[in-house]
Amino acid sequence: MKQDHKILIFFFIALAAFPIIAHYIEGIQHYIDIMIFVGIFSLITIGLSLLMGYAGQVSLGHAAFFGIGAYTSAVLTGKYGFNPWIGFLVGIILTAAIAYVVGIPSLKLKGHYLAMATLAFGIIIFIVFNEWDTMTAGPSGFSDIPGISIGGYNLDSDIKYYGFVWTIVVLCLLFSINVIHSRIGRALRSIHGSEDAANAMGVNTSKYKLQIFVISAVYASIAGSLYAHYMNFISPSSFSLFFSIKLLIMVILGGGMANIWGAVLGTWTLMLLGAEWLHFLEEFEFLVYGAVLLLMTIFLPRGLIGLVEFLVSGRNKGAY
Amino acid sequence: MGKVILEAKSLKKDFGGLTALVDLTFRVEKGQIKAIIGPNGAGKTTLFNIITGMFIPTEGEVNFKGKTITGLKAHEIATMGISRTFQTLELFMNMSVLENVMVGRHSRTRSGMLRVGLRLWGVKSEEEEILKEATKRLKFVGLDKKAIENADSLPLGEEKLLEVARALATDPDLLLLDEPAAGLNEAETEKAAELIYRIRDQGTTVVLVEHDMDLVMKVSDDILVLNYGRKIAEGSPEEVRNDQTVIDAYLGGEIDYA
Repeated sequence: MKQDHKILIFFFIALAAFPIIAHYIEGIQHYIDIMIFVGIFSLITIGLSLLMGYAGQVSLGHAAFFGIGAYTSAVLTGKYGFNPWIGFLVGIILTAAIAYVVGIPSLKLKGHYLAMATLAFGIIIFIVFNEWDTMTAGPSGFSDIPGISIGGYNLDSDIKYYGFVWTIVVLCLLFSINVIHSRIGRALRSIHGSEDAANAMGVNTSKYKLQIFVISAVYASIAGSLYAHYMNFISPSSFSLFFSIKLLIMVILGGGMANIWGAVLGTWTLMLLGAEWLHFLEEFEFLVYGAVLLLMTIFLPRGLIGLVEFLVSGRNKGAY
Repeated sequence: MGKVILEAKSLKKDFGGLTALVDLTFRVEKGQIKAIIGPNGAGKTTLFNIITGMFIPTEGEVNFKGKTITGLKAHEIATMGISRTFQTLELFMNMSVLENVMVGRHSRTRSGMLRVGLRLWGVKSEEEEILKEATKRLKFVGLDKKAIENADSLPLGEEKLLEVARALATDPDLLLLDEPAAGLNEAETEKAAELIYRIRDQGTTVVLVEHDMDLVMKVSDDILVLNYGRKIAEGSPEEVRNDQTVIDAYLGGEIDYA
């Protein structure tokens, strides 16, 4: 068992204990609600950590995949009355197909060009959400999305949904950690290290870049479906370029560029900042994020998780 | 004449208006150590990049073990048994020394994304195999004590050894070494020569590009001399050092072969 697997077990225990603790402490009871969002967004940032941190491919379009998952679930369940699970499944398949088609030409590009291509894709999808109003209900938003039930058991409270979301997050984390500590994970990191050398070692770099792009898009799609069924209402503004950038900040802030746990830590930190401590700033929130990002890249390039690693072991460790 | 492992036929490479290789034909025999020499810009690294599939030649083709490999992708050629080191080191600086070599085992292992993600049957034993093989290659070049260090913490000489270990981990039939002695001191160059012999002795054919004439004359069975993308001589070290065209091409008439 790798160290990451041990951390995952502790993480799981902490997640299970949190609602019990929160139940007894008056001031943090509403944190369950925030933690649901942390879980949903963590799913996206975990995928981004694999894509950007491990494989070195930047994406500014993941808000779009998040939105495609959310709207697929919303339309199929809210408009056509399908079972939510069908929504999840169709969302995953649709997102994977779109990511595949978008990924083939885009991933041939490197660095800033890839960022620009995914950004353009994100903007196009955002326009579709706004303009295709017969399907998406346009800018005013799509309401009356039903909740989810598992075999007749209704996820009708925050605490139940919390359990549901984080179970999925932990499973995705487990899958991701397994991938990281394997020949595929090393192949992804080798692409980041030197694409030429990776090819010369027999790594099919275009195949793995595409695979990890599709997987990260699927994570975002699952997050979108979870989001839609929790909020019961979605509107295009949740899936704008701003959100793609916010995801990027979460990954970098936490240190997800070097460590998958950084993605979760960064998401948690930024959500707490946004929902609790910086709430009073309203629109100016982004100014603080910008400053945080600037300071992090200068003083703490390995992110918060780098700081934790340093405090725990006294030195920076490789992933192996 | 031994069995031919690599054969280049009428290779030509243009970069826009610049011609890097002209009508280049040569063979490498199995089990040989063959050196490719020539002044800077002679097309040596371009040739390596064509053989390994990084570049596609404008004309001509390369055969490896009797099959045409021109047009195949770099990773396919690597899987067929050609590996290389890079003149400008291309280590995975974001990984440990051991992990660098483990990537070299990629083409010899199979588990796909779903399989490793779900830890299905066979993944664990394959990982153990990769670890074992990689450690063996690190020992071969003498870097096993540095296994858990980060690749970017190594001094130049050891970085070069690591590139060799990583390339050997792919189980190549043909190993291309791009300037293995550049930047090394005398003692390190001596060790490099010994390493090249050991690689040959384990059954791997070696082609090296090198400027250090002492090393070239010492280890090579056969030498190919390029100048401005053309072959100007080919033969044993003895033949090449007495070749007037070669002497002229080098430093206007002086070749240092102490």
